[in-house]
Amino acid sequence: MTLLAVTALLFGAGQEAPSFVDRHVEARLGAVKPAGPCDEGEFLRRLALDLTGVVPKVEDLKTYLARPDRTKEVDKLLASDGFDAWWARFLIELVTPADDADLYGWLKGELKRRRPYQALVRDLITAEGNSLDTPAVNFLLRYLPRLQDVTGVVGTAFLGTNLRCAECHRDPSSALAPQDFWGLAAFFARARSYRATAIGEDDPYARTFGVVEQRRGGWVCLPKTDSRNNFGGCEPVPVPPDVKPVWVEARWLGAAKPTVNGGRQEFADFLVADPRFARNLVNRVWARLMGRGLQEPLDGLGGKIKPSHPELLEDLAGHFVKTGYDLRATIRLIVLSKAYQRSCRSDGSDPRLFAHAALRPLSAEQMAASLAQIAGRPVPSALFGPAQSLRQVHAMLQHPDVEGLIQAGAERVLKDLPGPVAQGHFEYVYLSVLSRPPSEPERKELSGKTTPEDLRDVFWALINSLEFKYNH
Amino acid sequence: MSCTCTRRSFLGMSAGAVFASRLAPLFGQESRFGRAKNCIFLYMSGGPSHLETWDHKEGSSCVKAIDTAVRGVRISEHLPRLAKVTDRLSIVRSMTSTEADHAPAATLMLTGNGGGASAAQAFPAFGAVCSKEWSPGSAALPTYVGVGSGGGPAFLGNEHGAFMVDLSDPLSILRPREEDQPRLTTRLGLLKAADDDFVRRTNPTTVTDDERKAVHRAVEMMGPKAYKAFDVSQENERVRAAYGDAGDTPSAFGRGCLLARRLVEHGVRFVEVILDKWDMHYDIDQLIGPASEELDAGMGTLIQELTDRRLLDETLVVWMGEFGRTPGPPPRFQGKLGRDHWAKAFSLVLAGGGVARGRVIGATDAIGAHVTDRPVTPQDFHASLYHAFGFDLNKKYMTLDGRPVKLIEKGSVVKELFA
Repeated sequence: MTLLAVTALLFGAGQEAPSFVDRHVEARLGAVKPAGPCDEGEFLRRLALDLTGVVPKVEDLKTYLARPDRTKEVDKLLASDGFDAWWARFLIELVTPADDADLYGWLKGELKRRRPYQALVRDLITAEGNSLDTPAVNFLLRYLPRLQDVTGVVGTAFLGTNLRCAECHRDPSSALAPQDFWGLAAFFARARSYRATAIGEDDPYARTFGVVEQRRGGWVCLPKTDSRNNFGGCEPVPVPPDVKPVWVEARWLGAAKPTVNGGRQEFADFLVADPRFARNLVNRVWARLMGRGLQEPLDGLGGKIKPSHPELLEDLAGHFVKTGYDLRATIRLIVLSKAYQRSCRSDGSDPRLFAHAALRPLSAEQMAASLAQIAGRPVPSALFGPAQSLRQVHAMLQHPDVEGLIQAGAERVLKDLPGPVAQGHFEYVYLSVLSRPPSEPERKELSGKTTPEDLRDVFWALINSLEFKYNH
Repeated sequence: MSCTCTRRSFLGMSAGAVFASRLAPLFGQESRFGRAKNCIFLYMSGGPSHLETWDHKEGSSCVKAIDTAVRGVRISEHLPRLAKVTDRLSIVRSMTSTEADHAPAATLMLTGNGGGASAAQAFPAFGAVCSKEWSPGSAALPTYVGVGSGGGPAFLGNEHGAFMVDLSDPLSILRPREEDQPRLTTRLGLLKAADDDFVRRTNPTTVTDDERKAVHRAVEMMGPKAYKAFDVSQENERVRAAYGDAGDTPSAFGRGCLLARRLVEHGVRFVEVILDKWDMHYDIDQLIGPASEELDAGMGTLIQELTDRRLLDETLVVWMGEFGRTPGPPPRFQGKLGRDHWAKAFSLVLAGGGVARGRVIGATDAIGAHVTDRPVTPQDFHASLYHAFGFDLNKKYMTLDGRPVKLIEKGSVVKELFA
C-alpha cells in the first residue's frame, strides 16, 4: 500500500497527515482543552478572507458545502488571482505604509509567477534603474537618501528586528550598538536616487525617479551632519566641537570584519543567509493567519521577549527555506493545521496557546471587497477608514453609499429569487453576508417579516454585526 | 525611535526636572498654561513660501508687501484680510527644520517626531493626542474632525484618529435621521440581538467591546445635532461669501474654515483643514495670488468671526506647512519662476488660545535664507502646543509593543508666545 493510500485511510480523503505545526502547538497546551474544529461554512469564510481578502460568494459556498474538501479548497484558493492580489498587499505593507500602485502591481505579478520570496526581497534591496522600467526601485526611492530609514525598515520588514533604537545608542533589548546600525546602513551608502531630466513634453521619463549604485562608497561618517535629500534646503546638524568624526564601514551584524566595498548585493547575500530572514517571514504569516505572532512584538526577533513556541518558529522557518522560500507552501501548511481550523469559541485561555481561533477585525480592504461582492457593485475602501475607527463604524451605520449598497444588495436578491419576500430571501442574505443560513431561533424571528423594507433592515443589521465585521 | 532618548539618559538627569525648573520663574501665574480649549489646525500642504506670505523681503519676494494692523509688520499684498487681524496673531518667522522632503517633513510638523519609517513606529498626530487627552469626548460629536486631511492615531488607538470628512462636501457622510427614527430603532434592535447571539456563541471576552462601544457612540452621532453642526448651508450667504464659499468656483478651503468654526461652536474640539496648493516649483508668480486669496478669505474671516463670537481666547488657530521655499529672488526653471523646498527657514502663525497678540517672533536674513534670531524647531512648536493646551510634556504613553515613550522628547516651549 502506498504511503498516500495509508494517509487517505487514516485521515479520510483529501486530508493530510498532521504536520509538526499541531505537534508543537499541542505540546504547549498543558491542561487546556483546545476548542473543537470550526464547521465547514466558518472554515470557508475564514479561508476566503485570509487567502483572498473577501468573503465567499453564495454560489461558491453552496458548491463547497455540497462536497466539502478543505485541502482541495485551500489549493484552489492558493492558485487564484485573488490570492496574488491579497498577498501582494501583505508584502507591500511590509515595506511601506502608503499605497504605491507600481510597486504593488509588480509584487502581484511576481507572486503570480511564483517567484520565491527570497528573490523578491533581493530585487527590492538591489534594484537599479528608472521606476518606469524597474518598479522595485520604488522601495528604495521612498527612503533614500535617508540611510537610517532604509536600514530601519529593512530591519523591521525582513529581519523582524527593530534596529532603530541602536541608531543612536546601545539597545539593551537587541544588544546592538550604533556601530552595528550604521555598519548596516553603510551597505546602502553607494545607492543614489536621481530625478530623470525631461527630454520633451511627451517623454514618459520626464520627472520620473530612479536609483543607481555608485562604484565607490560603502561607509558613512558619524555623527551624521548632512540631511541630504532630493531637494536640499536643510540646515546641517551642528557637530559639537569636541566630537571627532568616525568612519563606519559596511559590516553585517556580528561579522568580525567589514565588507570590502560593501554594496547592496553583498547586503542581500548576508540578509538571506541570516536565520532571522526566514523566521521573520513565517512569523508574520503566522500572525496574519492566527491573530498574533509566535514572536511578539513582530519586530522583536532576537530580543528579550522570547517566542511563545520557539520550536515551531524554527521548524516553520526550516520548512520555508526547504521549499525554496515558497510563501504559498507556508500558508498551506498553516491553514491545513488543526490549530488554524479550530472554532473561535474562547474558554478564556491565554491567546498565546492558540487553543481556539482568534477573532480578527476585517481590514478596511476586506470590508470594502466583501461589501462590493455582496451588493454587486464597487465600494471605495477609503469610505471606511481603519478597522474599529469611529469613521468606519459610523460610515457602516449610516453612510448614504452604504444605504445604497443595502438597496442594491436587496434588489439583487429579489431579482434572483422572484416573488414576494419570503424565508428564501433572508436565507440568501445570511449566506452572502455571514456565510451561513439563519439558525432556528433566527428563522422564527424572521418568519413575521414579509416586506422589502424588512429585507433591507436585516441586511443593515447583518453588515453591521460583529459576526460580519470580524474574521472568526 | 529617535536618538533623543539617548541624550537624555546620557545626561543622566530627568528632562522633567530641567523643564519644570526652567519654566517656573519665567511663567509663574502669567504663563497662560492650558488656556486653549479647542484647536483649528490649518495645514498648508506642499510647503508655502515664507517670502510670499509672512516674511516679505524686498528684492526677493515676487509679491508686494502691505501694512498690517501692527505697526511695522508687513505681509504679502495678497493677504489683506489677514493684515487687518494681524493684531491677533503671533507670527513666528524663525522656524527651522531638518526635513525638506514632503512626507518626512509633514510627519515632523504634524507629530513633532520624525518617527520611524514603518507604520508600527509612527507617532500620533497632535489632533490624536488631543482626542486621547480629552477622552471620553462629547457623545454626539467626534472629538477630532479632519476636513480633507487628518492625522493618524498611531499607538493611541484607532478611536483617536481623525473623523474624516470630504473637503468639498462635508455633509456627504451624514443624513438627517429624524424621519428615519422608527426604522433605526428596528434596525438597532436587530443588531443588538445578532451581536448578543454572536457574543454568546464565541465568548470573545473583551475583544469586541471597543467595537460595540464605537457603535454606541456612532449611533449617538446620528442624531440631528451632528447633522446641524456639519451643515454649512445653514449659514447665510454673506458669511459664506466672506469665507470664499460662493460663486462659480467656491473655495473648498473656505468652506472648511467655516465648517471648522461651526463645529467648534457645536462642541467638536479639534478640526484640521487642508489647503493643498503650495508646492510651487513652477509659476510661483502666477499661482501665489489665487492660493493666497483663498487662504486670506478662509483664515482671515475665521479669525474675525472667532473674535466676534468670543471664541478666539479659547480656540487656538494654527497655520503651518511642512517647510518654506528656496530664498532670494525666485530662480527660473525651464523659463518659469519657481521655488524649491527650503527647511532652513520658514514661517508659522498662531492665534488665540492664550497666545500673545500682534507679535512677531524671530527673524531671517535679508533674503529669507537663514534664521538670524530665535530659531524655533518643529519640536519647540509642539512643546508650545502642549503648553497652550495644558498637557504634560513628561507624560509617557505605551507603544503597541509596550514601551513607555514621551511624545515630545527635546522641544522647549517658545515662551515669547505666551508672555
